[in-house]
Amino acid sequence: MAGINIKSLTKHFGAVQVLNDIDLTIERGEFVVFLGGSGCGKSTLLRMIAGLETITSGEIWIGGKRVDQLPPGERGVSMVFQSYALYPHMTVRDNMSFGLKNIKTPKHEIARRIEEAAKILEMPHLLDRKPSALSGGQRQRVAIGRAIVREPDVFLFDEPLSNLDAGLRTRTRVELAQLHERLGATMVFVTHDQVEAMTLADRIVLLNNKKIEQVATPVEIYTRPATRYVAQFVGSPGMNFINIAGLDEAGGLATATLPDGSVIKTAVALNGLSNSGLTLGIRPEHLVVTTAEKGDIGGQVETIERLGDRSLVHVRLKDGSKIIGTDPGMTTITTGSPIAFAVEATKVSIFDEKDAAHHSVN
Amino acid sequence: MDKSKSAGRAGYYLYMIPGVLGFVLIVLVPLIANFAISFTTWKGGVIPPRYVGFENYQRLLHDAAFWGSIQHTLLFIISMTIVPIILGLVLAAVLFDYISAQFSQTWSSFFRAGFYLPQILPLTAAGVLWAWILNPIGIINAVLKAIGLDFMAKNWLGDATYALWAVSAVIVWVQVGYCLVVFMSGLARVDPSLYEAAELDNASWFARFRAITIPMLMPEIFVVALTTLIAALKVFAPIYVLTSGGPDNATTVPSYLSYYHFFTTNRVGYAAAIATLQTVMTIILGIVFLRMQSKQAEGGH
Amino acid sequence: MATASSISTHTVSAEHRVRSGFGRWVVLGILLVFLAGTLFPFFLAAVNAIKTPSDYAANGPLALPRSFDLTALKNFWATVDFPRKLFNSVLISGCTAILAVVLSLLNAYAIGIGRVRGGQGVLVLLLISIMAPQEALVYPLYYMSKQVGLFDSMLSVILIIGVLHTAFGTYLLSSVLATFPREIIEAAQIDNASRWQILWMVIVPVLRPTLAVLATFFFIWTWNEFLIPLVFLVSNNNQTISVAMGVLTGANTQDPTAIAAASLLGITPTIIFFLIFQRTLTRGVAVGAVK
Repeated sequence: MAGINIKSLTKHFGAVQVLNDIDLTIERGEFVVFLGGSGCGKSTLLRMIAGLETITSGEIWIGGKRVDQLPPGERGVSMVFQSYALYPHMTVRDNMSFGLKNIKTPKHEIARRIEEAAKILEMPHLLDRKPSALSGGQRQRVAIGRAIVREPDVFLFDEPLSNLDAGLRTRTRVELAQLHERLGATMVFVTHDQVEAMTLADRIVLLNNKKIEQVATPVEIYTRPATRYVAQFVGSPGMNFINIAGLDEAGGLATATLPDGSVIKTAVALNGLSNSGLTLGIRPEHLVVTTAEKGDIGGQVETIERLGDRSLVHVRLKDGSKIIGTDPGMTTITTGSPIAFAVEATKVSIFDEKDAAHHSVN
Repeated sequence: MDKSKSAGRAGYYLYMIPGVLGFVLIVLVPLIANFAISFTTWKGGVIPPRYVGFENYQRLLHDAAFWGSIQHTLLFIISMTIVPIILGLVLAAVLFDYISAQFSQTWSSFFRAGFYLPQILPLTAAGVLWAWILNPIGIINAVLKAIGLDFMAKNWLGDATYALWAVSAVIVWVQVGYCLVVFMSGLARVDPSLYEAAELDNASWFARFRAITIPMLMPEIFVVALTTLIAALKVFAPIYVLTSGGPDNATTVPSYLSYYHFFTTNRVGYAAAIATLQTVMTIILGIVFLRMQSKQAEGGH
Repeated sequence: MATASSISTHTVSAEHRVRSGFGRWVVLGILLVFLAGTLFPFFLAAVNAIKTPSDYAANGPLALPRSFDLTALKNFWATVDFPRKLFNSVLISGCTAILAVVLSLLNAYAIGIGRVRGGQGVLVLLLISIMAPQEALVYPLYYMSKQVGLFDSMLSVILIIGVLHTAFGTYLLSSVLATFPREIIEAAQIDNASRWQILWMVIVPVLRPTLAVLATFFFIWTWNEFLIPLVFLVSNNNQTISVAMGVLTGANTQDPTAIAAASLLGITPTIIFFLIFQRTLTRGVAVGAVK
């Protein structure tokens, strides 16, 4: 097992810059997820670690060895591709032993590793089949098995769950987490799906526009997003963003006045906030339905989505802007009726004109 | 910059070495040598070639046999390209659209295999066969006599008036199969609902042919046209076997003419000039054709 | 056949069609006449090759043979040393096919997978191989082969025709390889496979059907080659069937059964190949033409 060190990594495809001066350290045994929208460079970054893309400038170190000029086979990495990339004419067993044979691993060692991987992935009965005789999920396992037998320093996953149907995706997600537990391996996982990221990652690397927006644990990414982009990327339904009309002070903390007249107390330090271009951010689960007297913000109910364990209430404010709040359980609120939400002050974030986030002081 | 990538690419260049080496040795060098020889007089033996400038080309311009060969080539374009394509299209449409539906797939495949059979023969074997059939005392004339059309029996290959047509007929016989097979496989990728829609619109078979079959087969038509065109310009074996370019140069083509001068009269420089001109013509025609094709593809249909 | 099954999924099956009665029989009849005309020469060759000369003289070329007489065939077989010619043709066609496939594969690997710079340029250059008439190449090659002592050898023919066919093969294979799933190649790179290993252990096994089609094409085209073998193989021992047929017309024998026998023997091998490789051929023409 080894950690990964990325220093000042930049990548151009011809004249187009795709990644700009990336610095990142991944600890041994960590499960790191590269998360981002399409085109943000996460797959490119992964492939550069694998050696499938060249780097324009910078350095990549794996386990204390500099690898950015080495061919893929010599970096001590294994990769699981989105399309599995199994060798179609070889049996599962041959698929898994191909790489080991190339580096002259002794036969009994190859057999032992295959047997163990097959046991872990519950597929010993598949070893003599060809990929065309396997289901999508089974091919997935073979791809993972092929990665495991190499006993690499780092496992790389390039959106491996995207081609699976929804039910299989959830199950495989759990199995991947268990695999990480069991092997204790360093794993780098690329996805655009924030649920996968939130559930699997020890830390999330959120990429946007050629740069890293934030590197943090899922909890931190969720509760204290570094930028507005991170805040709106993670969480479903997304965070509410409301323009701030004016700012006041209460004990060193900011109090925001919104265009519809509501006054929201926050726990964000007033110091360091500019006067204009500010946005207030609050997640729907922190807007709780309450009575008109106890409410901080309110309007008229437009739509209600009853999800079973909670209901999402879409509300139209006095000034026309819309927010989403929650009510536990199957709400009895009706559309068209007036409604008020209580805002948890400590959960309010303020985003400045540069979209950087300011969170509550505690 | 991208150091490892160009290092990576360099490795692949090695794979092209045998192929490119072969190409240089067997195509490029001889082509250039041939071009050079065309400016000389040479008997091909130990006496070295003598530079004569454009003399060979000038003489060619006055050589009736040469101009005749060009004319005949143009005619063979009709019999090797145009006629087979038309026949091939019609046959393909009939077999694919009509026979398959009205009878069965097997009939269709049976006909296709039958029409394709001439394609696979060595041209020389086909030539021997047809020379025998077209012989003045051969089968065609025997058949004509038997059904009372005595007066139509001719010396098909020995008479200058008919030789060209006889050779053309043989060429059509050989080529139709190729066009047929290519067009039929092209039709397989046409959406059948187009035909069904046309049928609902009361389109006759011919209307469907014109409005659907031909436009949808444009890629195949271009490929077939190009390949048969090049083959027509290079045609050699049938002429050699059937008529040896005769009678009286009535069926000669540039290929045969240059062969004749290379190895029979040993006027190597002259022959090289013919071959060079032939190459230039073919390449020009090829480029023109390819341009036409890409313009067609761009413009869409 | 592979294409047959793809065709049947596209056309409307006959059972659902309203058969338009009389008209279709007319069309069928016309087609049969055309087909008969097309296959007539084969029939003639077969029928007359086994006649005795007197039978032919008495009853003409169209009559069926009265007796089954193999003398004409045997004569031709012996005088022309047919088995030797057959062997030569098979050897030359086979070796050329293999050479051309291998060279095409190597080129296509570099161009289609390696994406080397100038790959497209090489493809255009190879077009010259296809467009240039063989006459423009033959004399210098003739001279060169004499210089290196390869004249009148099958090796020279194999090399020359092999390289000429490589142009088509490179075109076909490089466009096929350009669409080869890159991820499988990347997986093999991570699996420490060298470029050579990737070619032979990953790509070739997957490409086998296409390579078979290509080899079949090359075999048949080489079998039918005329000018190059004519010029380079002067001694009887080395000639191919194609050449043997060609020089026959010079002999100008008037014996019809002899000529029929010669034709029959000349065309039978290819017909046999055709029947064996019919499936591969028709699939291959589709692949080559439609790209």
